[in-house]
Amino acid sequence: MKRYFIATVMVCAWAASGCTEKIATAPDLGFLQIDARTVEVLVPYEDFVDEVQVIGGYGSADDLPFAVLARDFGGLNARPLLHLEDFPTEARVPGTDGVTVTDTDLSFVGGWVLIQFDTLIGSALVPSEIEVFDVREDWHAPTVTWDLAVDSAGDQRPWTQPGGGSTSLVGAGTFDAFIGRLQDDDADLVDTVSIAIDSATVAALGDPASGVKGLLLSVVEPGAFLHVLNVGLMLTTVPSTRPDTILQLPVLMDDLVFMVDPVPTAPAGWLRVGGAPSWRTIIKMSIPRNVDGTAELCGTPGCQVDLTEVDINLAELVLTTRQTESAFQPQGPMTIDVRRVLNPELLPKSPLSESLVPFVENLQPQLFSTEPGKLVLLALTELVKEILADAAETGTVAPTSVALFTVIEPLNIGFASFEGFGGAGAPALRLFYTIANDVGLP
Amino acid sequence: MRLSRSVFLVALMVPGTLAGQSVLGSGGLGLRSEPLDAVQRALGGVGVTTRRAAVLPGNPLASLDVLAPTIAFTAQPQWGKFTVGSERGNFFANRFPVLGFAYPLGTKGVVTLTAGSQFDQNWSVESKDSVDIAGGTVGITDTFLSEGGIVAIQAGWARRWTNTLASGVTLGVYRGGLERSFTRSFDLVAADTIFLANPIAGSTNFGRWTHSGPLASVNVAWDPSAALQLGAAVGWGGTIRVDPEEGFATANRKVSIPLELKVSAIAVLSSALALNAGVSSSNWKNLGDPDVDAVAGGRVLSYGGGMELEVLSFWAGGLPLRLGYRRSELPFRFLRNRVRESVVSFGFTVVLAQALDVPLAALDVAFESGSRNSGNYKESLRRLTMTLLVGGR
Repeated sequence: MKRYFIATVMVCAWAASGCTEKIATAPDLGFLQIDARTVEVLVPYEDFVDEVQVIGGYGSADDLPFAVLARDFGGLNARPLLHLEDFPTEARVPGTDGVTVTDTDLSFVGGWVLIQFDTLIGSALVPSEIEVFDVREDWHAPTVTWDLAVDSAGDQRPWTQPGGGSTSLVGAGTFDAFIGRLQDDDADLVDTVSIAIDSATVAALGDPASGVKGLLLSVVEPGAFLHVLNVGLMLTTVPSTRPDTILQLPVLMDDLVFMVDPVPTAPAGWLRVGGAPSWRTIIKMSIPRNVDGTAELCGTPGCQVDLTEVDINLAELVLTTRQTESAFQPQGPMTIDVRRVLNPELLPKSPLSESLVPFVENLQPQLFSTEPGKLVLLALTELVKEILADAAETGTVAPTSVALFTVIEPLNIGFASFEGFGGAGAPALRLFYTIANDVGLP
Repeated sequence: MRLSRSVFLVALMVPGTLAGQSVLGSGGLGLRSEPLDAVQRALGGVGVTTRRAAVLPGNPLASLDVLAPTIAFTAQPQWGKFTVGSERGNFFANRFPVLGFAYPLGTKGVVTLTAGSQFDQNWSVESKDSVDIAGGTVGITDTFLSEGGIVAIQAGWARRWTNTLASGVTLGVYRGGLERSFTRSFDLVAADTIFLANPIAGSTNFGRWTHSGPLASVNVAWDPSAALQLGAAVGWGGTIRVDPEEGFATANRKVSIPLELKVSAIAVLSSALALNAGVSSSNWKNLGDPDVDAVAGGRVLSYGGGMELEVLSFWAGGLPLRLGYRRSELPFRFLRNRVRESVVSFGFTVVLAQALDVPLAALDVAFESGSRNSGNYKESLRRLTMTLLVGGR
């Protein structure tokens, strides 16, 4: 029995080992009749684009994790706004005997507005005079614009003066990122400015009856452009239980948004992606079923190649970057995605498909400022294959719309621009396909 | 000591990662793959006359001497190198050319059921090139892959009519499948180191076929003396239909398989020494399909011979040692040239178990070394064949 067992083990080992077989390769000896040829073809704009729409309004400046502060930056003015929450009404005060008590009789004798900037963006490395104003009109953070304090459905209220209404100066200070290096050459950059405010202003800010509805920031120097990351109000108080002591109490802030002037108008004849609120470019296209064959495929008489009968290896939407209006040139990389518009009739609110591109394009900001005219290739291979497969079945190529947009909407106040119809950089469709004989019997 | 021997044998029978077959099988129906066991391989035989009971496809006479229901299983790893011009490479393969069952009908008859390989179509070729894209150059790799083969499933019956004369017949069918594919893949990095923004999808097209057809054989064995056994077999292959699978629009094909005549003899010179010789012939022309006829090899002849010497004992029984030589012509040409194979062989049998001097299980081993040539295409070939036979040899 033991020997039978050994024999069985050997048979099983044998059989199992046979399952690992793989095929090795020999060089092409020239006896195959596949005759595969891979060809590149560029389909011009007019041969595949039916319509281009540039639609704005996706998201809100309120969605950005920062606010923009600018004055005449390429013609752009931007002012942050914020709401103040109620002042604190009590404080925990340590007594002389070491026991901490709650003091509800606080006297505010002054305060500071603390403003934090992004030192990597815009004119942050140039000293700027920052002004803080109070806002005395009701405003609605998700919809506020330069002209309208409230712009919600059924309720539109303009500012009495565009840009925040009638305001009063609360305080001013200079933001200088290099101020620390006046004392120490190795000091880190400073990203915050502290603006002192007096007790009367503090009292007005904390009094609901005073009519103050928030704070507004402005910059004095023309050409300034800053990203405001955070704003805080710190109050100075003298507790009644210990008049010899000064306490600092923070006031919570809410709704850090910004207004811009002018609002970018829809582009005429070129493409736009990004901004805040965001713009999307919708391209409705009809992939041509037949394209001109190359001399390699057709010889001198020429011929048409039916794309439903070839194997598409690569399909790319070729865009040419264009210089964006200076006020709205991107300040950082733009990540652009392409998705199919699933229900074009519902635009601008049509649902979109999964991403069509194998990886999202990350475009550097200089492509839209100092280095325009560069090609951006967005892969649409799977979409084009799907369209042509459907065409092979139905006999007709169905129009398809794709949306170009930033992965995060809104991502930045700046937006990407691409050349539109009529120029050398008009969008094109690049196809890379392989045509081969059928695999037959030897 | 017994344990260490067992471990050695198991290790010997588990091949490593095996890969590929010969590209010589790219024409016609593929590379002829004769369903011979390790004994026939070692003796250079053609599978007609046997000194010991065996289970061979197309030859139920080989099983006439089994004393109990018997199964046989053969595995055959093979490997080698090829050269064609300045190109060199390796090929590896593992096949299972024989699977059989024999059931004795008294002492004079036997029925068999076997599956044996006939043609092998596992091979691939690869070439590298480049194409221009957007002003750059992108490397491409073309791979043509063929996977498939044809086996013969046969039922046989044989009977010994007198002490010196026996005959048998088999009936069966060819069954097989074939998938041939072409794949073009593109490098991610261009030859001039330009990184492509988007990956280029590869291209693949392929076809699938099935094989079917009838076959039959007639076998005769005659022992004119106690020291001599003569045998002959005629194999009829009918027509193999090659039909595309549903969904693959490719024309079908019918290939007429020619009659094959085999003649063999064994001379037992003493209880310890025997000689074996055999020849087979078939005419591969006018096969019914112009494409196949274009690569058909015409009349092909195979012959071989060997000797068996049994003077040693090992484990549970005798240890017969075998030496042989065989030269074969293959039915289909390669690049318009005839394909010839010649091998020398060595083999032995280990009786794994026996009772009352009757072997119950045995392992036959054959190792062949030789070459296959076609024009300037040359292969060095190493082939290990192992047959496990369990039952009543």
